[in-house]
Amino acid sequence: MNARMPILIAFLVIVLGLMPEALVRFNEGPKAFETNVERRLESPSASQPFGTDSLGRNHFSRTLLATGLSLKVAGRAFVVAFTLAVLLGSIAGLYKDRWPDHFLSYVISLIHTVPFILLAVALAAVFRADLNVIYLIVGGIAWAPPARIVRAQVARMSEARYVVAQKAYGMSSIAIFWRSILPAVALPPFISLLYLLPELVGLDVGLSYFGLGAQPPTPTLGRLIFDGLTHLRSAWWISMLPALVLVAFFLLLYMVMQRTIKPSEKGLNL
Amino acid sequence: MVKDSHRTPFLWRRLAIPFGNALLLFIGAGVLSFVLFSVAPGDPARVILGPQASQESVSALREELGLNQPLLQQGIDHFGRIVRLEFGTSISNGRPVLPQVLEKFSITATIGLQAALLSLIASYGINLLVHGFPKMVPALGLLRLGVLMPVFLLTVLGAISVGILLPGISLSSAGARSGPFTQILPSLLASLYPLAVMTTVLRDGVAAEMGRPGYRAARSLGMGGFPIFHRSLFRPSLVPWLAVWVNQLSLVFFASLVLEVILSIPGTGNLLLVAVQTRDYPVLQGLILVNAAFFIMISLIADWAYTVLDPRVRS
Repeated sequence: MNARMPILIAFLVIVLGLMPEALVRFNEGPKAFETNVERRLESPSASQPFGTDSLGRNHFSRTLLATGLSLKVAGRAFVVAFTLAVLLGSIAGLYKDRWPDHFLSYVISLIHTVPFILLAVALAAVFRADLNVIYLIVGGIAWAPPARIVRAQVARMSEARYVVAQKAYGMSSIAIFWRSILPAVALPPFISLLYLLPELVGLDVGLSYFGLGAQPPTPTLGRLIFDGLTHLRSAWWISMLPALVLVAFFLLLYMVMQRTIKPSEKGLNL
Repeated sequence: MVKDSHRTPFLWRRLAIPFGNALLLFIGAGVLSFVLFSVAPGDPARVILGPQASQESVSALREELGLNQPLLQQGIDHFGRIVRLEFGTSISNGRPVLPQVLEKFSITATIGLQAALLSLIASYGINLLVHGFPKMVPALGLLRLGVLMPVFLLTVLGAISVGILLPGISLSSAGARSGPFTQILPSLLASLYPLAVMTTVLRDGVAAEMGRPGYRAARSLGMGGFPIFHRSLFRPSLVPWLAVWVNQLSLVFFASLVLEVILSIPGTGNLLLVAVQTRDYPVLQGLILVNAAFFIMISLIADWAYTVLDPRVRS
């Protein structure tokens, strides 16, 4: 962990925790849902910064609400995935080459065998997941790649000299794990999950296309972008502006990550 | 405890272990699909027939589907059917599942594999170009940015730009028409994201190799240009690069789904959409199993290819 890591964490808490909450709170309600057919498909203007959609709704409010909802799901999924990755990856690493490791490694490979979008769609369809539980599905899939990293790291750390020394001193294995192994292995899965963050947002979009997750009239970024494509020539703003909001978000994330993560910590796992 | 891993493995072992693992994974996918749909809330027979159906017809269908039998018996029957490649019939249109799934999957897989190959070739080309003209290195920053975009976003943005720049192509009906360009267009768009990733990964590998003694030795011996790129920089980075490529296939699949939606291509995306809306569990199961079989096969081939391509992996 380097000195800039707290900045990155604070940034993530703001953009994935506080900001989505605020966006949802301020844009929920009539602002985003009120239809006004007389003012349909208006181009962006001072009173309607993002124009209006095919039902004359305020597209600015809808875009902000959709962004808030998507980032909220992504943020929660991130927490779930990180927790699962560290927990299960550590178990596999500590019991390397014994049955818990064999079992967990098998589950991780199994998750990797089916494209994650298909798995997410099947899970969401079977459990009729709504917006409040979708993050469990997304997080329940995304933990697998970083868990592999945790497993390898924990297994390597358990053989590190200082850990062996601590064992020789008679420290309990829980204390060793908590104090010496865990802090040393938490960073790589965190960073590899950060690189997966765009896909966590993307999964939400994929699910909303298949009519899963948020139900109309609740806007999601996926719905706004896909639905707007039919009006692309006459009303470009409907899909372009939400897409550009997303681009801006990832640009910001990219810039912050470039300045806070050292190249040596990246260890790209794509 | 002495492990016997230092012994040269017999040929059958080198074949049996990967195949055994692959088989185990496929069985796991079968268990997963069975468990997933048997724990699904609601009575499948009721779901199939809809809320208006009479109680008698629901019980008759339960009998027909074998839902009255104990769960273990159902599971065994399920496996028997998978082994015999009987995936049942679709609930929404009554046709057998497997031919439908294979037909749609082949469309998606064609787009995906073309895209994957394009990204492989193009990323090699770009890296060769950058090696020849080092002034172009800053341009790779754009690709690094592409890596941090969601697949769907990059794909959609690509499709929108094509739609705006080439007014002759109507986005919503590109898939319906034939012609060499509309055939290759989805693959080109789907290759955007893997291209960004693959180029970046290969560049990082090449940059790392440039700091190694082998490269400096080759240079001092007077090697240069293409041969040194190929032998001293590309070959050592080959296996990590290919490993990333194999991992990208799942994302390429996602990109093809998105493109099928945008370009109205009747592929897996379409089938999946109908299956989800009508709760067509046999089709969903079929999709999961066919995809699992496909991706397991790919990783089997990939693992074998690594050992062929790089002697360092063999040990």
